[in-house]
Amino acid sequence: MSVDDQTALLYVEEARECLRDFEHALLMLESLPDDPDLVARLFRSAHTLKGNSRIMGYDVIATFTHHLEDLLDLLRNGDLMITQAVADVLLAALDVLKELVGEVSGGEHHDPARYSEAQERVKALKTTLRRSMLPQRPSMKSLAQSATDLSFVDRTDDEAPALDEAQRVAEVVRAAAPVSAPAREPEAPELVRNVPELAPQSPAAEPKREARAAPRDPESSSVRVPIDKLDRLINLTGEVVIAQSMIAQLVTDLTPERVALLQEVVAQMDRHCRELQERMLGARMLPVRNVFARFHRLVRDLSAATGKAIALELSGEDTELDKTVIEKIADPLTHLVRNAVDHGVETPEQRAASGKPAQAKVSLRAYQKGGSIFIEVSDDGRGIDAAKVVKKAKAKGLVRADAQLSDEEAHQLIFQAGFSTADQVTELSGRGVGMDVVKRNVEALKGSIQTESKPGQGTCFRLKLPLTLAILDGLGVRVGSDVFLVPLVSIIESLQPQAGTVSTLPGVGDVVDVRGEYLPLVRLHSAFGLTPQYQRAEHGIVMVLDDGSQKFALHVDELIGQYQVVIKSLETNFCAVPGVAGATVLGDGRVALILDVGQLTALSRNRTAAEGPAHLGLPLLREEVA
Amino acid sequence: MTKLILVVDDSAMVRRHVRLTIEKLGHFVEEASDGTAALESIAKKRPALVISDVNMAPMDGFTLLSKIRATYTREVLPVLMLTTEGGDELKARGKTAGANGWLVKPFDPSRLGDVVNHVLSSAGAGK
Repeated sequence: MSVDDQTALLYVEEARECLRDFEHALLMLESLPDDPDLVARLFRSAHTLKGNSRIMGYDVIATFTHHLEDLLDLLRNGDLMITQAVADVLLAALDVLKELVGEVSGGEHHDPARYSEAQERVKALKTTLRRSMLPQRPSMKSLAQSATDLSFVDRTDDEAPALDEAQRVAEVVRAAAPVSAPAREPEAPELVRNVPELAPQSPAAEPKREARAAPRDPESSSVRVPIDKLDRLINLTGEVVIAQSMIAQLVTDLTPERVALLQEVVAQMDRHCRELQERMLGARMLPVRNVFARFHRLVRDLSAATGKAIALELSGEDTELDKTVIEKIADPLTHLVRNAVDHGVETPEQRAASGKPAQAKVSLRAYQKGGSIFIEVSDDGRGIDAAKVVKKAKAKGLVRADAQLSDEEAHQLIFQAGFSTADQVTELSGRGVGMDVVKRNVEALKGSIQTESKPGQGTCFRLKLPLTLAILDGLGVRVGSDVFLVPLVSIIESLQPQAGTVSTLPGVGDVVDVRGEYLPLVRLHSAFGLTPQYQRAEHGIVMVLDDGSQKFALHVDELIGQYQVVIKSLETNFCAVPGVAGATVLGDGRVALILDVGQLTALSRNRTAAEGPAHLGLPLLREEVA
Repeated sequence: MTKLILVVDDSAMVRRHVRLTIEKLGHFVEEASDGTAALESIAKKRPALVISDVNMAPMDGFTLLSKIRATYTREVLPVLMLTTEGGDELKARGKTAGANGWLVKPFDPSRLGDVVNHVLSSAGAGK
């Protein structure tokens, strides 16, 4: 049977969707064991996966799912209740399926040992159940049906009878490697990984564990768009084409009396284009539900591993984010959730001692506010001990021994590379890497992290992310003859400083007094080595910007106007330039560079370093530009 | 003769696979992802044949079949069930409910083609 690439791609996408749905329904079922809808969902997911795998000729997956389905049949008939032991078997089976699907998509290799182990467990559970139910109920429909009969119209069914099944599976397992052939890596770390007592101590095995918890998506370059969304796009495109041809016609034969008509058609086309753009972007947007869903499993596993009782609360799952952001946010979120469970949440004894309910709460919340999406990861655990953090940072030489830090500044320290407050390195997080990576990942998405923590009450990490990475709302500014775009989200205000408000503070550099607040002054022309129209800030314009960790003032010659632009990457077309996030073409054809506000102060410091050491007194909480 | 065929399945992959097979026979294909969408499409496009999966949500294939049969006879709008299950019990249920045929996944594309052509020609003759 031959299928084309597109079909194969659809297969992988749908298989992943089935597995996600399966996992979600299963975890829900643990708390609502009697919900028939959830069982039906489990069944449907497994069923679709089996059918699709057969069509594709992926018999290993089809056979494995087939066994799983038998077990689900028992659930459906009420012969089997979902207990933790049953859920464990199903989840282990699910992990194997994830690996098998991953293998099909060329991503990873499955572990034959784990495959047969899970297979054995599924079968063992089935057998135990069958023996315990006498007289045996005819619930093995799916096995009984596998006969070779052709019913009224159809088909040559070559499915083997039940008894041969086990033997077939063994063969299939042996033949499993050809699903994707590349040489297997050495077995040793895999074996270590399978021995629970050894796994935590083995640093080599650790990254693999993580890789399994959040499977990589080698296939992620496609977006599934609902047909109705697509239809509206096609309609709109049609409207634009009609408007365009009307304009072309009007222009070839333009008389003064037809100018009004032309203006009207242009305005119409303008509206359509804008709507088209918005809807086009909408097609890239996905609900965070898919990312959130995986945390049920993660928290369940972590909860079991640490012996802490934890309830996961999700809200705002329908909040939509750009597909690119969705994909890249999963890892940082995973880390934050692990961190919350490992460091944030206390042991049940500690919680009891401080009068808290034994079951801790970890919540994930997504919502949109203005042009940004916020995702909060919070827990009701012990909170961040600011004094301890500062002590540790001083001991590690991350801040000067005599530095006085506010709580907020202390919280920022945990994002410093090489910082870890855990007294002991534990299995889950606390490997001394992570939070700095989380911060870097979020910043790579043009986002920022805010930390709120109250000792004894819990911690909340708030991620602020842009709605989309493809389009930017920016303010055009001019320096000399060059135009730059400043992202609107970073701008607090713009003003013309009065004479005498700019001064030089020793050790800090130039500052500007904005209603009593002294902000470091960055001159865009000196940051990029340009010739400005106005050398003095008082003659030009000063913009007050927020780079995510501090406010500063940016001196430019003139504000030009607001633009909504499509970001073109400089990196892919040229190379990375410090202080520049990308480029765009303005309506009049001019190229404008988009400023990377977060890098500007550092850039300016480096530029002016020759003139004298710039020193902000406080420890520098932002990353230095390398 | 070119006909319009409605393919109902919750899996886009299966729909595509069936579509490619049927388009090779020179027919047009319309797709629907469940029974509700299928009924809408039937009312609007009047296909000559429906090929439907069983396991779908919110409306499954059997419900779809009974709703179709409430309006159209087997001769006017033939329905082929295409599903992973092949149990006698289900097939009998399908036959009683008014299915013109029962195909089991994975299907052999040339076989599907034969069945489609056969059902279309006998439906045309029966009119």
